[in-house]
Amino acid sequence: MHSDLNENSLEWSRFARRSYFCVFLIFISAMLASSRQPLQAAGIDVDLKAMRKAIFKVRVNSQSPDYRQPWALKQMVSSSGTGFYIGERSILTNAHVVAQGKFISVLKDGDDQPVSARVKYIAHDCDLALLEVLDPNYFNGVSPLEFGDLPEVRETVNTIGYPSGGEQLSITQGVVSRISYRRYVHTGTDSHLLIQVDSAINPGNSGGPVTQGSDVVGVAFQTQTAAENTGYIIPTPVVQRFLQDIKDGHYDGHPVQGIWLMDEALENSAGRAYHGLRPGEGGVKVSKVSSYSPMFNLIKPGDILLAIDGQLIGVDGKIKLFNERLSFRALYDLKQVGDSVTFHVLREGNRTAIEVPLKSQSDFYEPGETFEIRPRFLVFAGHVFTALSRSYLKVWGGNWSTDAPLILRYIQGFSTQLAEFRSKRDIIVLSDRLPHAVNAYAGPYLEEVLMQVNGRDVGSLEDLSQQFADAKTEFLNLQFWQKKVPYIISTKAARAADPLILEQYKIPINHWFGQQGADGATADWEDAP
Amino acid sequence: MNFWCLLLIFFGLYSAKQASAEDFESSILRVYSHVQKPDYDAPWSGRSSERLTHMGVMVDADHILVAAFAVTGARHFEVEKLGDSRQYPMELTYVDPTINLALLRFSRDKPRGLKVLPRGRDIGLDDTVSLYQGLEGESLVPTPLRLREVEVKPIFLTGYSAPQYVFELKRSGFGWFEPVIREGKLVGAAIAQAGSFVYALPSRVIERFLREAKHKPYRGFAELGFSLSPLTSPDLRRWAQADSLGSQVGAWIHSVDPLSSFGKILKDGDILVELNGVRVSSRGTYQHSRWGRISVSEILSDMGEGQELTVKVLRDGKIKRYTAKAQRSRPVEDKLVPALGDEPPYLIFGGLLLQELSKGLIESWGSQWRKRAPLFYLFEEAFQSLGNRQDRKVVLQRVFPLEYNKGYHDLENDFITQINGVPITHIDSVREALNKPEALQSGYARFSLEPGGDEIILTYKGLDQVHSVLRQRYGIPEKAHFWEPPDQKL
Repeated sequence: MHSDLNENSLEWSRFARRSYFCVFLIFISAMLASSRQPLQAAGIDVDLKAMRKAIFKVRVNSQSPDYRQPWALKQMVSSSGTGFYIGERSILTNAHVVAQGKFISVLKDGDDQPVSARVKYIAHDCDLALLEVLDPNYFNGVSPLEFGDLPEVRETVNTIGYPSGGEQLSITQGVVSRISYRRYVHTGTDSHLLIQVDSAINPGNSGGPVTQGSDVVGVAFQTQTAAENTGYIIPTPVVQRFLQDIKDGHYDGHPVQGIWLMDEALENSAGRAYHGLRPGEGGVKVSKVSSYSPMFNLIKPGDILLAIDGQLIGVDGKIKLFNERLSFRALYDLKQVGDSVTFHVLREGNRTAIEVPLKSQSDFYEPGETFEIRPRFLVFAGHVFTALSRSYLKVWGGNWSTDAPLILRYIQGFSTQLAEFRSKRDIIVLSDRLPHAVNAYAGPYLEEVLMQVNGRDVGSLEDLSQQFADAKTEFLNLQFWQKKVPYIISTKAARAADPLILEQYKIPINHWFGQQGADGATADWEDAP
Repeated sequence: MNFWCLLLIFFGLYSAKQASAEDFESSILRVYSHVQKPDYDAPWSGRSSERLTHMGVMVDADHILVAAFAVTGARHFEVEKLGDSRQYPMELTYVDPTINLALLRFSRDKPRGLKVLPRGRDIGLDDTVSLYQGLEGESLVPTPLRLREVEVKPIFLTGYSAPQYVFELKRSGFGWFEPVIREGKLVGAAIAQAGSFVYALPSRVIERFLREAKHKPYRGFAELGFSLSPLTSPDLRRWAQADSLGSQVGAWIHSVDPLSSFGKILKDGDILVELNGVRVSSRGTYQHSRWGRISVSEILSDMGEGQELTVKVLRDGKIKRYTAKAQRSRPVEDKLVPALGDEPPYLIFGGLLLQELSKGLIESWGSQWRKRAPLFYLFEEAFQSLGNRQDRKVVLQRVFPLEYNKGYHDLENDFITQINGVPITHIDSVREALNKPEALQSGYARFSLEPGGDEIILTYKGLDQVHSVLRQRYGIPEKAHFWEPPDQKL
């Protein structure tokens, strides 16, 4: 019933309870094998010969942060995906292909020598990335692939790429079975327009072009494991929005929404009569508007959204878009930050138009995966404070949504609704203890959420660090959420022990507060001869 | 000692044990309970019944002592004397889920030759006992055990903290009220098993229950009304000005129930120094003469409602002494009612099934309920359970789809926070809110839901007809609790 795409853990949990289907990323390490894939299947109307030079195998050595020891990295992982040339010396691929990439290379079809590459722009929210390569002449003689329109349902498309099981370019034919607005699994929380095709999209296909004739109509990116031959592609409107977004040299991201709706409530005749809807009139009812939403104070709970930019919204929350009935959110979502949308709203019997200037995600708790260079953390007197994140919760494994501590799962699910956390930059967890006499009594506070130090709210790790540095009291009084006993440590003893503990446990850095947008995909070629 | 001597001793001991086990077959009976758990999706009925087998002990000529967990939600009881195939119907005379004990009595006739099992006193650490099991087979089987420790831990049914014997036992299948016997006398009854430990209620608790069951009014088992946490950290002690107590005295008081005996007297952060004259350690324990270090709340299991409870606390560095009348634990009055097998309080309005959030409802997600139940239910259970029946959460359990409630069919498992602008705190408040004259006059009932912020709007008009269709289409009986207008048909 609910839908919200930036704060939708709740909606996701409801959804997950009802239908346990899973969508998994298709990107995994492509194993080298001797089997050869056919380059062309009978009946596929595609000139692969002209395109193949523009389609690359993307090879990645990645290393993710170790959220148990936030100053360290986990084991190196080798994997591969696909990318394709779109001009201006840029290769388009999926963000998840190159996420946390420490060394990236691309290999042209038929070449034996990979060329170093680095991330120029990465958009985790829509799972797209743009790569550039070391050799400026690498694309000489390579024609960029051109983008086409959104395909129609039941039209045939071809997925081209380097799936696992072989070294050669592979092509798979499929039929567009659905165009919808759905979750992208890379971050786990973002939803955008996507196309469902009834062909197998295999590991290694990620980032590859999906074509109709010689036009690219999408980028292959995820598959559904619960159903056979169901793949998903990122359609051209989303790709083009990304390319438009980065034209100013900065990726702003999709405009934040932060609005909760009751998608079908106005099917009810009593509800319609109560709100004064006219016969045949559609609209969706607003349940909540988050404080970080650009709609906050403009749109109110109980409002009925009748139209967006003149497009009538049905009681199912859908509008006519790309010859399909799609969630009105798809239209909102395809806009750029700085654009505006106009809602026609029914409020307490009055009809009015409200213009909403769109903005990007601000600094509030991000429930989606962020792929930062390392977690934000602070070590003080052997107490490891880490910012809560989806990646941190994954320390509890694939079933983190049921296995992680209740209090952390709850905050992850309802952070935007809990007044205590609304203004916080970080939700700070005491994630570990480096044992020392000074922190001997920290045990009951592990995996708990720090709220205050010496009676003052702690809004971020920077703030926490400052409070530890500035404290002039004999004791540090740490108050944790829902804990009834404060955690008290001697300020003097903690400060004295701090450098000793760092030395004793060989902790190379005692904090990471992150640079704005410091992404984990740091691959570069500055060491090239 | 030669081999033949050892063999003779072994057979001597073996036959002695066999003989005592047979003796107890006239006092320890096998009880069958036919239990029907509530169906939270159809609370007017119940789930299919299941038969539980457990043990019972003759405590007087007519009564058998059993565990309360075996009688909650039970529709019928039968008892069987081991070696006698006839089953005798029983009826419940008294149950206290707080302490997990109940009394059954024979409805009509009873087996011949029954004997009352004599009752002994509490045992001490390292004492040897026998646990008698007769869940299957035709004879009682004793299992010799040694008392490892006595621990104050929550009772399975209600979470009430009571002292329990802890025995180490590698085999599974225990905890079904097997009597603990020493020197021919009942000294405890096993009520739970976790891993390789069996937990049993001690004599004093059993004695107190039997005594209180005859007392009018029943005084039950007292509760503290607050929780204790260790005050072991030297930094915390200095910060809390507890230095004057030394390093080993005083425990941290928190989660003071405002409706409890000390609700208006104690506050979070007070330090409990003494309870009824007993010195409290920094871990919240005291030195028991027979059981060693044990939680000080053990004292409560020997007290009932109305008895005097004295606390000595340290507040702001000063010692204060307070006395209050103890209150008995009343789980059915709690904010989150334990799963006691009763019909869940519910109300149907236009196909919306509304009921109070309870432990039973949360546990209806099955054995994995801690993972499967909605997060906001689990949060309530873990962190928001303090309060009484006036603070309960009412939930929208499900919607029975009809044209009338179209648009809301997929809603389920939401808190109902307000109806017609009236805060909802228990099922009776739902009725009151729905009966609000202004709402009746407007013709619309408005339900506010959390955590999603949804709102359900339905009309009062034609509800009689809607409820009639519901009964017919979904087989809901006439006697089910449908909302009815206060004085007139709508």
